[in-house]
Amino acid sequence: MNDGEISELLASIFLSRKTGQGYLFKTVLIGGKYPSIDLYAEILGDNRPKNYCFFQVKSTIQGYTKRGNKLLVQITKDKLNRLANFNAPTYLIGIDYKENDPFSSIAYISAIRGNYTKGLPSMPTHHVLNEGNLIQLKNEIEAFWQGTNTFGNKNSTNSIFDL
Amino acid sequence: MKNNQNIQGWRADQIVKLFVLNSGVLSITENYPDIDDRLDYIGIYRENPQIKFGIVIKATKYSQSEIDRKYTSTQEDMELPVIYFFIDYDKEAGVFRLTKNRTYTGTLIPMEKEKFKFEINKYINDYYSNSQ
Repeated sequence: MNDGEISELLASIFLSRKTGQGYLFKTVLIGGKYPSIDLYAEILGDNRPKNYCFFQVKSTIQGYTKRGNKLLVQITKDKLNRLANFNAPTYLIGIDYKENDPFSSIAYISAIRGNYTKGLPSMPTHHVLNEGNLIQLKNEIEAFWQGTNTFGNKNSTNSIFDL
Repeated sequence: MKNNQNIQGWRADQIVKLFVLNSGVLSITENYPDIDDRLDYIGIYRENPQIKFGIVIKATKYSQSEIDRKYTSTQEDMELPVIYFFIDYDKEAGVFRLTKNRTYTGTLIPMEKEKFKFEINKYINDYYSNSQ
């Protein structure tokens, strides 16, 4: 089984779920073709040029830490810094993967910004990738490309999805 | 990719790819030499890559009984056995059925991992026992 591809497909399905504002994202799976980036996603609509962002996807069947209820996915310092160095919105999606019914899995999202001095041994679960947060994510990416929220600036971590 | 033209069809494709890969029984490819352009993908049996299935994906909001009524004919001259998936792209659920000797086998089956594995393995076992 290609676990990486399954995780990317699942994240892709979650990102493209219908919201009160319609379908917001369409993705391209990149995993294996480029280091650090698993998904490219662009906002659907007539906007020109296209507003887009990148995702790293990690999934686990191990569940959560006992203390702090963090998702048991790891990401190295080097990978975090490579993601943070893109001059584009970049995010980590962590998936609590349900093997028998993958569509019932739960996904979490965090912005990857700034300068990391250590890796993440587990992922905070503050931001579930649900309908409300899909809309917030779309707004944040649009604000980034319109220059009204430069949370991509390495000195600023003004994302609502901060770790 | 017939389905890829709109977001609904694209989502149906992603849902089927995930479902098939997660089943562990087939791998899936769209880059297969001389693929029949009526097929969306080729499913390759993991235990024996010589065994292949065509995969056709229909994005639909029809109920199971409506699907049964509406989709009554198969492609007559398809070389491979074909798995037809009928996907509700918003519910992320659906049904499937197989063709055998170019006709449908049985009723529509809910897209559940164990049922899918069972049907694929049964199909292959039946095929080999009939050919011996």
